[in-house]
Amino acid sequence: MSFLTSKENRKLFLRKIKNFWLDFRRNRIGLVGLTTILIYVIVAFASPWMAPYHPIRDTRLAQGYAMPEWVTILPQNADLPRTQIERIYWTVSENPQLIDIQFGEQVIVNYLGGQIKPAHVWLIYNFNYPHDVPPKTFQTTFSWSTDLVENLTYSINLGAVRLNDTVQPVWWLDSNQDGGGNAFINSEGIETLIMIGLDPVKDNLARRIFTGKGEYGLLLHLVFMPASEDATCRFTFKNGELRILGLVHGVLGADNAGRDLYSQLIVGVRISLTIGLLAAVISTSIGVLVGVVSGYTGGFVDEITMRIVDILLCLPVLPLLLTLMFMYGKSPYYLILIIAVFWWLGLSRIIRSQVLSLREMPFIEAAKAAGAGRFYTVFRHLIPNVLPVAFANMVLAVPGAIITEASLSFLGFGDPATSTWGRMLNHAFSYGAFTHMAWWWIFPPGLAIVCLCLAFVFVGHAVDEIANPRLRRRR
Amino acid sequence: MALLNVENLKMYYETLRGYVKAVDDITFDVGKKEALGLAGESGCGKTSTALAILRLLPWNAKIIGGSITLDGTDLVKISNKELRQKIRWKKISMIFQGAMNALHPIFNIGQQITEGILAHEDVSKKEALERTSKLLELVGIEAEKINRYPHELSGGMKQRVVTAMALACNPSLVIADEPTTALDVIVQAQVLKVMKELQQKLDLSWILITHDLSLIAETCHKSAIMYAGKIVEYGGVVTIFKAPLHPYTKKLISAFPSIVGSKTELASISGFPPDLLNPPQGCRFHPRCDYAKEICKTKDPPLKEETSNDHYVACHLY
Amino acid sequence: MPKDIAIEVRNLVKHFPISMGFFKSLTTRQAPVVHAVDDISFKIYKGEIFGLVGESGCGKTTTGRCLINLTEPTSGEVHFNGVNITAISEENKMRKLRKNMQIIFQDPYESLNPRMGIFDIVAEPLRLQKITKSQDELRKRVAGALEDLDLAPPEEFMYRFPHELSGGQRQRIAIARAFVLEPEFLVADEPVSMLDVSIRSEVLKLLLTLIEKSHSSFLYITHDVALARHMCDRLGVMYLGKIVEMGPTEGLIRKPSHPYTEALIAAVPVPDPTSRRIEVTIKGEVPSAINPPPGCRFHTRCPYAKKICETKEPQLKEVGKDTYVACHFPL
Repeated sequence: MSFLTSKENRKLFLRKIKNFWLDFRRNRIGLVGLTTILIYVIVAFASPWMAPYHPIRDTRLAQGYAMPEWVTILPQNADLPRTQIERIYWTVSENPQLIDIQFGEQVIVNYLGGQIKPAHVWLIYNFNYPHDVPPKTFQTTFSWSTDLVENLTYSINLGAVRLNDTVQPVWWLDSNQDGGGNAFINSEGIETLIMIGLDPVKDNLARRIFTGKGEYGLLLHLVFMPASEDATCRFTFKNGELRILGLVHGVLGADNAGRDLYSQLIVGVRISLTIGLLAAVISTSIGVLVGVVSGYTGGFVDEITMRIVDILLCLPVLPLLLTLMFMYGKSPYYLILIIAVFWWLGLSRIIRSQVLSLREMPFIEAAKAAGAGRFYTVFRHLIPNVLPVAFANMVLAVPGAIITEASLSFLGFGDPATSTWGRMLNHAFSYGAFTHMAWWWIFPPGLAIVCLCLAFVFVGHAVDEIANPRLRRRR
Repeated sequence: MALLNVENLKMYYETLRGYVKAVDDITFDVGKKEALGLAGESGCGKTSTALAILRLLPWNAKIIGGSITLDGTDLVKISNKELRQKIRWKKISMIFQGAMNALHPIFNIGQQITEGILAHEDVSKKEALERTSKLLELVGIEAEKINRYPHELSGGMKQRVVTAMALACNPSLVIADEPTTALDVIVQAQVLKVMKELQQKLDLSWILITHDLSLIAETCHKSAIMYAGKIVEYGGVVTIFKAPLHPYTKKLISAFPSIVGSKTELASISGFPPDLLNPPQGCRFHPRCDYAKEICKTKDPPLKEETSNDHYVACHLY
Repeated sequence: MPKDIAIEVRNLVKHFPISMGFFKSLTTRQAPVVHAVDDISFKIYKGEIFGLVGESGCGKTTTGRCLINLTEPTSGEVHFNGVNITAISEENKMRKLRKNMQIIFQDPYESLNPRMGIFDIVAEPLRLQKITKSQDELRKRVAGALEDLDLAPPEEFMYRFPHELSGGQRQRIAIARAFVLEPEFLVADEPVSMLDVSIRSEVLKLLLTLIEKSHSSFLYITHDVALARHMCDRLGVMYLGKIVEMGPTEGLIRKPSHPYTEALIAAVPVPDPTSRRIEVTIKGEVPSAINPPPGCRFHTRCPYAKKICETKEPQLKEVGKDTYVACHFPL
């Protein structure tokens, strides 16, 4: 049987598609659904380019529970700061002892001794903070090292220069050894606050520093206290970054760890669509095959198959799914398989009952009279007539699979390394989005799920309307 | 004096694409104790006419013009309430197409007939049951079957039950829409016999709607042949069958094979029934007519009396 | 001069089992059956149109289907051109024989696969029987079949789908599909009963032309006796699974020998209000086929029934030239 090779078959096939499209086009709800799905699909394809940040790894992009940027449209939020990242480029503020400082990729302060009095160097980095609203946190990160330390004690002091030119110490370190490391100074970190002498619960270091918009400075005060005249010390500073965490961030704000929620949402499209479509396609295929074979063969095979389906239908899917996932792992593809294995049961019954009525139809008998065998009848006559119902069912199975996945992730059974909408909701729930009233964290994933599922339901509704009239009699 | 007078009745269905001219200016009458056969193929408007008389039309159907006079009252003009209380089922009742399959499967036939009586008349249940037994006897069903359910009855009996329901309130006119289509030929003969007997016994008038001209020939006094919403020929049954005038009538009659007489060639009509959204200009039959002339394409022929014995035809040939 | 026999049916029986509930089937010893066809025998000659008439439930449709082995008979034999097709168990052999036996169904809306294009529908038998060798030949034969049924130009119809055509056109496609294999024997089950009256005769005329052209034998199944009279050379009248009368059409119609045939003919309405015919009334309705009456099956309704009719079943006997009746007291 030449399928699409002959000109006739091609012509008929194209006409079939054209007829289907003409019917579908008339259904406005279906078109709305289809457009929405197309948008989602485009986003899914474009997600690597559309998501500005990594959904899980890029943390500290903003203050935890930062609101979306567009809330600054409202007057009461107009002044909320975005995350400000400053690369620290030191300039010399004061260098009375004229210690050798090299600027470049790294800043190297070379103390070469020569006296017994302590030597000071002040390096400053000026930056502008253009908001009256103070941030809640800022973080300074840099790598530093001291070597060639001989006969000397050095002190590294980091402070912030306020608007009124006072300096708020932020961090210091004293030592007389070679040293180094990657410093990560979090203005809300308990160690920092205790070191400075503030109450970790009540005081906010950032608030103490930032009192309004204007020019601020980051001051690096190095003190070299030689024990003898030939003391040396070389201090290297590189990769300095000052990050003032914004109170607003991105399109959808940030979660508790400062991750970009918009990226999480975008990346979730891919997973949700993939899981939904794959699970639906697999389960529909199994359901159609079982339903057609069972309905057409009849007799003992049919009875046994349907009893098996009955028994399997009684099993509670979600608890079973949870147990299986617990035992065998959390990969999302595994999830697809499990959903598919349970979903085909319902479809097989529907298909079977349709096959039962189809196989009595005269055109099936006419094919038999012309010499059709069983395989031919199943593939050429039964399955094409069963496809509209199967397709309508498949379109409705997609939202089912998506919601099942979301439910599982929400309950915490998803793969934590994959960002899905369900996982987003799970984190929102577990990490206090509700107590913080972080609506930008709670609503978007839920809305995304609902809109996608509704879109499929609309399309399924439209396809269903088309699927049935063909088999209905026209008099 | 005619019982029912339909004059220039126009009934269109309003659809998104325009008006479907289902019944376009038809005129006929039914006298007392008379049986009128409304004949035509599917889609010619005969069922729509019947529904229009009883105003059982769907929401998008509109009676545009004309009158339906029953004993002096114009049924088109009276209110819904009056129609429901005084006319429907009391003066005119109907046996719908495929009604025997529309019997309620959960109630027995006694209950279904009494329901009709109780809905329209203020009588006690006992009296209604008595009347039901009499009705069943009238249509030839044994009285003890009153408690049977529809699925326990055969096709012919179900049709008789439906006939009994139509007679429940002693109407003067019964409209029967394809009463015997689904029945076997012997059962059909039995049902028609019952109908003829009832006509005699109860002084009933009938409108029999069917596509089977042979039924009309056997049971009716008058006949109106409909095509595409119009009556093309109208008159006594003998004249129409013996001397048909309209080309459509002629072809239609000879399209039915006869079991008596010699074997004749069956006539066929080429083409398709017209689309009632945009019916052909002029005479609606002209695209399929063997005798079509120029005037047929432009001017719609009116129904005129051709010969003196009440024989009307709408055709330019005459 | 003996004519060639195309189909010979010997003692054909078809019983349909009634499905009962699980427990009932355990407790009853003998499962009740529907006696659809109960021991009938007849012949169809080459080139003739044989009509099988009767009311609904008499078994005519089942007989037609058994004749082309669409339904397997419970017992009995069907010989086609001398070959006993009921004895063939090999599917392949049966498949090759099917080339010569085709069927036209009653419902034009259900006998065409709604999802197949017209070209595919008509080409299907050719493809299944692997008759044509090239796509061009296939196309030519399909076009030819469509033209034979006045569906011209064929290209206009080949690429359409069934729901785009009218009932009459669909039935013509069904006929084209049946004739495209040029079979020797065809069965038509009420081919025009679902069509409008004015379209019927056109379809029937085309059918007759095709039958004449192909010299094929034809079994015409219908409940419309008047139509059967018009189309068929010989008639067989069935009642409750049995053939009660059989013979040349005109003779049977003019002078029926079986009371049932007489009643059947009398009940057919005539499109002539002045014709006066004998009104034969028979009582009651067709009894159930699950428990047919003993003896002569018609005795419960027969106006001429006598004692013997209640107990002894009459056999089909020849009463005239090629006329057979199954009655103890033929008219």
